[in-house]
Amino acid sequence: MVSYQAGDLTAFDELYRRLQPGLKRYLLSLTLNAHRAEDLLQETFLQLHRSRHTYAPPRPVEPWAFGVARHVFLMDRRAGARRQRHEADAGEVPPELPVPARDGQVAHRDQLRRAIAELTPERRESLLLHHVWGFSFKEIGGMLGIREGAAKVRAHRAMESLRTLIGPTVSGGGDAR
Amino acid sequence: MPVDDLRLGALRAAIARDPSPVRPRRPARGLGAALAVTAAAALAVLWRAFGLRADYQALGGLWVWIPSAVELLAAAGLLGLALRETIPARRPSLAAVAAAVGAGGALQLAISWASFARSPVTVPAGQEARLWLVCFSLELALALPVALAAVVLVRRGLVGGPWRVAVAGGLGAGLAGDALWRLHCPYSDLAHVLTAHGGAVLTLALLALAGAFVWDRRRLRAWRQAVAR
Repeated sequence: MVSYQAGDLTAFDELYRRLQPGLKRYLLSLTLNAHRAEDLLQETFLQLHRSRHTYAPPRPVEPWAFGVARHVFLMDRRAGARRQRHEADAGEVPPELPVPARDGQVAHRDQLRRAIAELTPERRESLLLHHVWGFSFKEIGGMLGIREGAAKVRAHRAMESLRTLIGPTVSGGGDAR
Repeated sequence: MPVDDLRLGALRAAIARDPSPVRPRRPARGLGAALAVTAAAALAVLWRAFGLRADYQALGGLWVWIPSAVELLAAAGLLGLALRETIPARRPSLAAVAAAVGAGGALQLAISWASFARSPVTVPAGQEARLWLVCFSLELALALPVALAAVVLVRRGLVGGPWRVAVAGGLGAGLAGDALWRLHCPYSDLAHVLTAHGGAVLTLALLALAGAFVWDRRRLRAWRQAVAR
């Protein structure tokens, strides 16, 4: 990232390789729509480039990049630009929707994925940011503009909701990375 | 060619159009403090022309300078919060912004009340409207350079919540102006202070909100147009 800020555009390829999978899945968890997530992924990397001066080394890159992705998602949602184009996909649960790594009996993963899709957006976001991508609640608070405690409560309530939806097979706590 | 390769190629082409190196932004709190200190330093010269408040002796030097210094620190804190809102993954919580805004407002009230208790100087009868206008307009004028500098810095960032930026930044700039103007204005009766001085601070925050609303509408329109192309 430091090289990229210094003008080394070959560093962009490495940055893309490292960030693309996580950002794609994050945007998918926000949009629940594979096409829209792909479009927003492109916008995110363009915005990362335009906002590269806002990254302050030696802070970790991932929270900053996820924060940019979230900004892109929110701007797009507010602008309402893509809603009509992808209405046909509404209601489908994308098979790539991430689930916490620990709760991984294959037979349960689809059930868990559907349950995660039913969570409120705020709870789903906090849950996945912590249990899939391993961000601390402090980092999540900084990304979402909420208190650390509020991020913790959202994730906890999301876990409680999942237990209600699919029974006691869901285990909680711990980082996935 | 796989879709991912096509997309990466398009990204590379777009990014190559702007390959210039960039310097990372300084931390928000540093910028906030720099804004407040710069405003104080630059405008202290102006104060030499107006002179310090007429009740300086009665109030005491420490009671003149320390509250203004504290108010400037509060202004720096608010401006720093506003700037943090423009850094992805460093956004302050709504609770933090609300607490800072509340504390800033309470601080101005507390300083005004304490100054009146120590040196009660009331506005002369018949001069209320004229002095209200003088204080209101000059305090706004003092706050404007800080506000404009903050706008320049905010626009360089990635604004998540424009309302939080506007409220925190507008109030911060207003407090900076108030901290400086109270070095000259001796009138501490609460009716004058709350309406003229407090009114100027509040007006700046409201102007910032109005500006944020207009700016946000424009950026959403630009976003829609970019997507439609």
